[in-house]
Amino acid sequence: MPEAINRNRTHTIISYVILFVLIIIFIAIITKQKHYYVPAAPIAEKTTAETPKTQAWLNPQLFGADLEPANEVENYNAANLYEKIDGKADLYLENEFVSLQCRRYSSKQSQQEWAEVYLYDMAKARNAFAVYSGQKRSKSQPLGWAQFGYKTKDAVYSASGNFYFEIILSSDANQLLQAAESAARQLTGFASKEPSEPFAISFFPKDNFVFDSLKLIKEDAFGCADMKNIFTAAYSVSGNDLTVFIADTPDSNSAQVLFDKYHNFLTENGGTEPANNIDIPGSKAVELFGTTDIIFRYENYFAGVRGSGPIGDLNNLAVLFKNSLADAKNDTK
Amino acid sequence: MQKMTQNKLSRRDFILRCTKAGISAAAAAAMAGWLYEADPAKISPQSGNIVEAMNYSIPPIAGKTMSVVTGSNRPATVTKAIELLGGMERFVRPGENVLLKPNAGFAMPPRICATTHPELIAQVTKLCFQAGAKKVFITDNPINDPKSCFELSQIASAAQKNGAEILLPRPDYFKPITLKGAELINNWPMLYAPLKKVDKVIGIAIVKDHRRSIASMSMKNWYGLLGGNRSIFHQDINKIIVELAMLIRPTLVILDGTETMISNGPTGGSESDLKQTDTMIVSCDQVAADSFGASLLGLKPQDLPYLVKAESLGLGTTDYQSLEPLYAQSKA
Repeated sequence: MPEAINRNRTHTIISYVILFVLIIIFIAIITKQKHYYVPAAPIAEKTTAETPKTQAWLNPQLFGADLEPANEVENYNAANLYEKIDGKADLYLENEFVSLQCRRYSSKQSQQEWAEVYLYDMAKARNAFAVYSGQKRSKSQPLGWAQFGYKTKDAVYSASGNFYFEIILSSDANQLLQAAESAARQLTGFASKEPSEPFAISFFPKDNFVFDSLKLIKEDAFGCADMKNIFTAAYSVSGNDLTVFIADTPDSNSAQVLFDKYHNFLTENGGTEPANNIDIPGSKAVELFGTTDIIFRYENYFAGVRGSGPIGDLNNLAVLFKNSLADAKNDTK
Repeated sequence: MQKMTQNKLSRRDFILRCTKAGISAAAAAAMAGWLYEADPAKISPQSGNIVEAMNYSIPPIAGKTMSVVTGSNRPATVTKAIELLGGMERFVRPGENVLLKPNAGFAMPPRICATTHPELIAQVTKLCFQAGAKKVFITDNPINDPKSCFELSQIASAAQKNGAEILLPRPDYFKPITLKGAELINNWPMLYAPLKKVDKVIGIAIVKDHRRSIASMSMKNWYGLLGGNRSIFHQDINKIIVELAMLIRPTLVILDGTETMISNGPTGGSESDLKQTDTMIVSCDQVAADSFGASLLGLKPQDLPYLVKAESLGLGTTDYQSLEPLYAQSKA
């Protein structure tokens, strides 16, 4: 009989323990659910389902022996780019942004010294160039080894292939800047090996080119509403500043339409055609307010040269440009 | 034999116990199902609290609403600017709790001026304690990881050294708010608990270029009180800035234009994005402060739709000259 009593007591104790645990769980659920929280960030996934291959570029050795990773690689997509760069996200989203990978590297000597890499996949080289040129800092020095790159005293910026990247530094220490430049060089190397379709600015002639003068004018180029997404570059010929420009259109018909619209814009605003012959068949020259435009079409490109220099110089540069364009297109065929 | 009988469970007992166990399990499952709510917006007992405005302002004194001090030393200029308005004692009474709302939105070093400068945090904290504040709290719901933002911006260390307490955003600090007369702040989670802890609120912002709102200053600084997927408000940025200014009526705003981010805002990234403008603006009228701040970016108040709208709603004036601002130059 006492054994039975003991057993019943054991059962009772176990029952109470189970009830107690259930009550704790109940309270925990109520407490948890009472707290309403929708934080700023986690609506969109920070990590994309598929790890981008560029993540491997942000490897632990990117900055050599002096700096080591301070965090894991952060991945952002179009849905959550705002979480990293807030209002600046618009610039990227307007230019076919695909993904952003970020990683911070800290000095082994001092956690206060760090560099953060922002690696943007922009899908196309023209987009990478658009975000690069759209943020160009005036107080900067070109990176001699990069086609598109510059450094300020506390950051390095570059575009290569379909990628644009920034390396932001915690201080303006020269050693840190040197390490960043070296990392930028590695990233440029990785990016240049990725397939990327050639785009308009590859066709600009090399002679007399003013370094780092490339620009993308998104709208109203030269005051003409139809002139959108125009790449321009400056040339210095016999002491005169001339501008070369090109638009990459979907097909040759579109290029012809743009050619006609720009020509009409110039003539309707009082432009006149000079008597000089231009050595590019099908081209036109228009002089307006002391600036002469020579415009032509080549396949799906609408291009031209403009400036206030002698028309002979403009003609020569236009011919050089046309030949450069033809050569480059032949190479890619 | 007797022992064996005692240990044996009768069929009747077995069925009875199984039934009880089954009923208990079913009840627990039913209770769990009843308690479960997939949509977090529906589970708060406080959801959709309707508020008119959170008013921390103090009675105005004519001619002492706004001050502008020029100089490059932030602690000196902010001290002078507050002194011109009557000193911190006018704004903070002994025993009061004060909330400082900096812009701590990014994990960036102070040098880049994407965030409120730690020297400013340190000095304003000191002034609050000197005026008799019981506690000084600092909070923001940053874009990036909050802990990293407060640490890398050095706001955390400035607070710690001077006795202020950082309130990192925690789940239970948020509460859904519906602002009367607002379209966007409608049952939207706000960083509410820190605001309820305090008697006075001081906004401390920097003058920055902003790709979406053109300029980020005092009024835009309240954006850091929003929770949830607030990026959807970027589509209607002017309206949300105005509604935030409707919601928060601060005691004071401090707008730091010592170095103005004139390009590539709001993150910047390099000192090359900054311009030395050596101006500290302190104002009881946030619209007036931002109207003055706009000039540091080469803008007029009319260039910023949210300022025009805020003025039309009586939240302040874009004609800051009408407030007869007190001007001074810091000798430090």
